[in-house]
Amino acid sequence: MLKKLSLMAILGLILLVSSNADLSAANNSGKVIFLKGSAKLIRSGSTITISKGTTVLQGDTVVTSSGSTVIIRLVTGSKVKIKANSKLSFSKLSKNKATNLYLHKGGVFAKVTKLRGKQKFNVRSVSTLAGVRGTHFYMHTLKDNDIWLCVNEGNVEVSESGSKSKVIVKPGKGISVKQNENIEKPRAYKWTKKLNWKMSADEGDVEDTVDLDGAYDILDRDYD
Amino acid sequence: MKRYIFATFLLIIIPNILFADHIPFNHPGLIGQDFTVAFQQDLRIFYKVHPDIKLLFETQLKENIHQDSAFNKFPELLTFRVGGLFRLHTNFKVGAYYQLYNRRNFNTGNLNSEHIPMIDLIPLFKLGKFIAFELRLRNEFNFYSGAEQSRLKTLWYSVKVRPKFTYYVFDEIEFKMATFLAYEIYIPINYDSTHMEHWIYYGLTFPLTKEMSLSPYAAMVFHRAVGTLAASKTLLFGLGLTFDF
Repeated sequence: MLKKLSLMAILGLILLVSSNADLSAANNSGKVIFLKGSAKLIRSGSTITISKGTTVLQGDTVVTSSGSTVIIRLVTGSKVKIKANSKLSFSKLSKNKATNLYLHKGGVFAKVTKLRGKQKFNVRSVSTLAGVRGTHFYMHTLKDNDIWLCVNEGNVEVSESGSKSKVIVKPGKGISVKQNENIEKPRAYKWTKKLNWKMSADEGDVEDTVDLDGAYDILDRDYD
Repeated sequence: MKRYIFATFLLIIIPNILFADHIPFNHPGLIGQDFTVAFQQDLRIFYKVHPDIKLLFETQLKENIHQDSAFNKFPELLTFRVGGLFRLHTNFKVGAYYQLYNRRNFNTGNLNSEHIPMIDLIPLFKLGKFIAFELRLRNEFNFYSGAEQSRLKTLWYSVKVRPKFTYYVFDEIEFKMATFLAYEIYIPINYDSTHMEHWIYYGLTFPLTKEMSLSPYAAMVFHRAVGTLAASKTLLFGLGLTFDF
């Protein structure tokens, strides 16, 4: 009897631990809900080819190739759309606390569900931090580490590391954060009207073709 | 502020190009100087077949307004060039081309064809966000001098060195225009140095569509005396049409 009870207790303990692990993973994850082209996921030094349904965990990095688009739904219900030739790390994923992303290069759209309690949503790139509370915005890091950010809905607070200056970017406005320069005043930019803000394939084509990197690649222009 | 300084610098340079009598071009045997005016039209088609590889087709047409009517036949120059441009690194490109170079023979009045394979070595850099600098080193290997000139017994190797500054003007992320200033010197390496010439030129580039741009330019070309021909200067007005697919 005692043996049976001990065995059941051990089994119960194992089940409890594994379900907690599952719960923990579920609370710190996202899922790929759309993929066009090809992308890979880097996890603990290993590379995984992404497909629809791939789970994205805290610490993972997603890298998209040319002509690719990936949409990931996070555990909070927020979505991120990663553009072609981009690299985004999911530094911290949490259902109830902060979600921190790091944009190494390229562009990402983020549609953030209304945050509650201690929830936060931050996207960092180089020395710039964009903190949001329930909004829809686009952020792009150029090859020379200049950053563009524009807002479709809600407000985004933008700050720079080592600086106390902060800027609130409102809907319809954008800013350019240039290396070693102060953050500009937000204003309306014509090119942002061409951005594809769709975050779901149900809404139509989600691929965004505004080419910020190509626009500024003056060394690739040939005339003679 | 920097853009205005640069624009002012260019505005000072332009009149000096057009009226550059003070630019010396002295060499032994200088008899006198002729001055001519010429027009040139360039058509270039780049086609990107790979993120780092573009194919090129180019044709150039040049007409010279010359007082001596025996030589004044259209065109003075008609060239065709095909090849590829390879971006080996962000800051380095290599070009490999073949050019069919048809130049008016001043003795017979006929077009004389030369065959010239060439290799370009092009280091290039950004000086700030909107200024590109390149130093093109063009190596030409002329192996056929044409039917009306004595046939080459050896390959004629020449080098053209061209530093070039280009300043790009953007409206937000949209490319609006560029202005460029370049100097080029043509140096025969293993044949008659009297063929040496040098250019200084200035131009503008206007994108008409995403793929098409128009480039008007002006240049002063300095030629050394060749045979019985005096050293000369040519004021060249050109128009380039470039397609970049």
